Amino acid sequence: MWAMNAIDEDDRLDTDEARQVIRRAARMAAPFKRTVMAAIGFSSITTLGLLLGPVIVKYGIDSGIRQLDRGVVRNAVIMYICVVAAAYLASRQQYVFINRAGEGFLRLLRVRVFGHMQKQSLAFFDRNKSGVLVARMTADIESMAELVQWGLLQFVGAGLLVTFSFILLLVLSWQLTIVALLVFPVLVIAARKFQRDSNAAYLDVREQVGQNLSTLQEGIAGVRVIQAYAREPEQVRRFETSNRGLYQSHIHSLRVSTWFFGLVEAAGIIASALAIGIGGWLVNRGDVSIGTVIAVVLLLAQLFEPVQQLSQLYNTVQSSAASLSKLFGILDTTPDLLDGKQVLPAAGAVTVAGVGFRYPETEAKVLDDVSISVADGERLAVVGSTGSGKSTLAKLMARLYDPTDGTITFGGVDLRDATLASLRDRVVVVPQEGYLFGGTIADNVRVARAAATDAEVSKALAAIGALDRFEQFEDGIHTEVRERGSRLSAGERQLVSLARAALVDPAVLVLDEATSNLDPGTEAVVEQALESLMNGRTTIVVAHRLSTIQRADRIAVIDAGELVELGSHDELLALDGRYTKLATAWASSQPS
Amino acid sequence: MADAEPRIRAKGRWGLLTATLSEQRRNLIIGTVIGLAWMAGKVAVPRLVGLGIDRGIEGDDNVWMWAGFIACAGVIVGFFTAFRRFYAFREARWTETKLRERLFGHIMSLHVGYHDRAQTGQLMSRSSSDLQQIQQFVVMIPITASNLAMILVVTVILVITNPFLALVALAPLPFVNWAGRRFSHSIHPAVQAVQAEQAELATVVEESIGGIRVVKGFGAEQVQADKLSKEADDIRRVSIEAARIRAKFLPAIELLPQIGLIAVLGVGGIQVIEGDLTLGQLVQFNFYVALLVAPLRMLGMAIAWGQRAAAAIERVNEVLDTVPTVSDATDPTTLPTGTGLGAVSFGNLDFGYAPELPVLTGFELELEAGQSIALVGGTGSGKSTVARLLIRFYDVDAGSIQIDGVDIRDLTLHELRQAVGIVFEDTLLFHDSVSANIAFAHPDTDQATVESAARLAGAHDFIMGLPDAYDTRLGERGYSLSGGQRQRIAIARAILADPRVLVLDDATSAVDPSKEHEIRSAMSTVMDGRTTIVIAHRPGTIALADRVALLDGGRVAAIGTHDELLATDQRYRDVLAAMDRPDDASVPAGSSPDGGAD
Repeated sequence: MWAMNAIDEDDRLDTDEARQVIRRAARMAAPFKRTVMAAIGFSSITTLGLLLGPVIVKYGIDSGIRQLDRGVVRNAVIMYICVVAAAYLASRQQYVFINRAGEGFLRLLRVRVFGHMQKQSLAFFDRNKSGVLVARMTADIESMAELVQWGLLQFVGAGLLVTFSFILLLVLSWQLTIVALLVFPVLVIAARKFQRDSNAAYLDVREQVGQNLSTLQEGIAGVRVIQAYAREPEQVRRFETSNRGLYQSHIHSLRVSTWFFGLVEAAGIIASALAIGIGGWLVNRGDVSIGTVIAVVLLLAQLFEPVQQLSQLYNTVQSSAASLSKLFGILDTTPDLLDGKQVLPAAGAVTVAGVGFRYPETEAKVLDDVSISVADGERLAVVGSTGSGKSTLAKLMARLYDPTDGTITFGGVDLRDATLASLRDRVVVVPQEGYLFGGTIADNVRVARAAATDAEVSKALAAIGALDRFEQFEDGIHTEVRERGSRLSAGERQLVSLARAALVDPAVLVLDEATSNLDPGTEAVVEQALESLMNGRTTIVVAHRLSTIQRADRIAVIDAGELVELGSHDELLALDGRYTKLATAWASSQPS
Repeated sequence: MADAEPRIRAKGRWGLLTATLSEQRRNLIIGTVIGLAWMAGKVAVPRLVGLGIDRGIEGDDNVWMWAGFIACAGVIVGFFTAFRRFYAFREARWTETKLRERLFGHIMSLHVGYHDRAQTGQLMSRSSSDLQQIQQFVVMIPITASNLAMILVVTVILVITNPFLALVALAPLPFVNWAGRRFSHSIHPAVQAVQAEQAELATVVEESIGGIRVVKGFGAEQVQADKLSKEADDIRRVSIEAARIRAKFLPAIELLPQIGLIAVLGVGGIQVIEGDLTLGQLVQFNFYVALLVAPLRMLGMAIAWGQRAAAAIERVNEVLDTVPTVSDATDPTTLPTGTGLGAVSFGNLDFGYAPELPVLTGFELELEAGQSIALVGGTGSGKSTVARLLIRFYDVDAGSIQIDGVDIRDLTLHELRQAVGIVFEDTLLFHDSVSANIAFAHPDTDQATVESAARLAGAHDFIMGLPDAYDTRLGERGYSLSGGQRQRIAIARAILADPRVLVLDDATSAVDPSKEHEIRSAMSTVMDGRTTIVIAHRPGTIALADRVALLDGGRVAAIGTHDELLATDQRYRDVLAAMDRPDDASVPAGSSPDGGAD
């Protein structure tokens, strides 16, 4: 519960929501029904075994000890041993089966949630912080492991124990069952109060923990500023306030919960006292045997612990339900980029007609009424200041988002009507930074086409002039790139990223030019690779460098979401408008 | 700073804990006494049940009298169960709370050189999960004490009642403990395997989400889904493996005491038949054996937690034992007061972050009061280092820095840092209101002063446009501002501090070039009449300063106005050209320790 993701997350579910979540989880767990039934079956055997002990003791006392029959005592011992052995074997099986079902369910959850997440458009990933999404797939699912490992079993076991105990009590003596009926309801009512109070307190503690952690983190991360302004004493005081708040919430949680543990203890012992009192009276009247009274006392001793366990389990169940509800929230998000039916033609112009775009749940339009047509084989540079909407335009042209207004077509086909598979074959986006996954260089190139052979990968690398460089590595293109490609330089990562595009061999290339510079050695290689990649392809490049801009056939200047100028470098300079201003700004920040 | 931290020097591994616990001696003793009362009550119950059967049911006593006694014992046990738990947890939470405050205070006092090396995450886990482990162990102290007492007393009672039966009944119990230890031993690698697989799945998830543009761009969703599915299978496999180990041990641990109960029935039953034992005593034995199970299990846990706590204490000690290398002068002097002050002199400084890598060698620079200077130099020239030395984030290896003729090492850190204000390249804002962030240096400042500082920094207008104006909460979890807006708040913060020497460390680097002029005017307002050191890349910002010092090879290579240097110094032109690529709006932050040699 000290995990960082505890911060800021709402874990309060009301009863109805919790019930719905549990019902839905049960539906999802349907494939594991038989395994769960088996676990419950074995759990019943275990529980019954535990409960038969007192009954065997009764038999030993009434028929053996009382009758001075050593043979019966011996038989009772043998029976007892058999029962315990059976309980042990069944208990082992219940763990195996419940874990098989539980882990199977968690596996299903992982695969489904991840699959569904990946179906979402980029807008989903803009909306949700990546840390939160990762937490869904890790911490939230892992938080259920505890429940799977023993919680569910305890839940089932405790329920069975209470049910079986009452049945056995009734069989042994209905009069003595009254003892249990006197005490048990008090305990159930107390348990409900405990659950409510302690859960509220527990959530409060979680919140305080989160708050305290972020105060702590802020202090540590901001230590330079704090020291620079000599504000240490204030920060220490500030931390103390939040830390004491956490302490108080711990104490509060302790205060509202601790009495319950005492009550359960007391209730168990008082029940025994009642059983002895009433039992003694019944024995004297000759209604029940002494063995029965002893069996009842022993049964009662086992009856109250599960109530306590169940109540403590409540918080775990509650937070698992909260995790599940967040995961279901993801499963309920309808993917907003749907697959079309038409296969795109092999070549054609990219036409943007009256396109407007607004990010979901925001007011301001990022793009408004933009129309450009990029001819087959043309190279278009898109320029503008930060936040002008130039990158968004590029992303729309590759259908990473759908426009809010207007249409984008390739070879006359609306991108929304095209199959995603053919779209990704025709139009490829190369992001700013070369992003690498774990695995080898070849694996990373193959991200573009999973089925590509090594030869095809090598060909793609050769096409951009990068093959020689990687073949110099000891393991060639099968070199592990390590975490985030740390084995490779920034330039080499960029080369891998370009090779992916070469592997697809698309008709249209959408480039987001890197703002940061590479080391001079690789810079030239990357630039050459880019040049050979763009050769003969329709290219739309979000440009930052004067050199790139000057090499483009036409330049589109985007300002505040609108296309303000369009033409060649010289034409635009002649206009003496927005482009000229941008060009002068670049020049002026350059040393004279 | 040292006054914020009570000095209890820890001796050895457990010293820290014993020192803290000795402050809570009284409550720990009360807790233990309560634990003993609980124990007495618990131990009385089986005896009373036995007597109730023998004398109440089988004998001539009134059975309700014995039932009454048992019920009374029940009330007492219930009462002390609650109290024992409450005291144990409360004291443990208090220990944790106090230790965390000590740790935080100490972390705040540690020199910047320490923080350069330490990772935030590590210090966080020292102050959270490590203390949590210590807390769990402290809970166990009074509880374990009463558990041990109970094991002892019950064993004595059983042996006195019937030594042979005691031996037979108790024989399986040590195995509970033994199985518990075996279990921890074998489950450990299995749990680690699960965690390792979970980490691998997390990597796939992080990669896919981090690289979602690549995944989407190439339609590689299926590839990633396959990877994930493989990892999910692995997790399931190792988890079920771990479950098998649990399945082997947990039922055994739970059922072992039953063997004792069987022995009691068999051996005790025969003894009752032979008249060596009463029926009540038989039941009493049964209860006592059951009573010992929980304390024995807890004992196993206490040992495991003790081991974890020991490791945690060691890690916490490592932090607390670090002595801040930059600290107050033993006999501090004060800065002269009056007007026209703020002269700074760097005299023959030597400094390096590591001995073998000198950053400054023989660095000399004189600044008159009220004068401003821009420090310009390539990467690694040491320009940011000069600023850090001035506020004693680090101490110089040789030479001295003086403000108005006083060596900065002769001042208290507090006075020095009040006298020198710095605006960092990466602006850190706290999770607090805009006002509180601006009034950081003087939290009691009135609102009018805050606003006038904001106006001077050119921040007032955009602040008024925020949802709650000056009450808008900022920081990680708060309203997010643009780089330029953050920078202006940081400048306002420095203005409000009103230092006699101001350092602007790359204060405009995070700002879009087209917006830079807005900040420049804010900067020139603050610089007016104040000794200022500007560290900058862009010509426009450099030009704000009266003079420019070009740093090269760890010293001042040339000094003059921007225009003079441009006209006369080729190196200056080279440095500017290298730093100022036209599109290079955002040079990655160099605030990390290794990049700090900048």
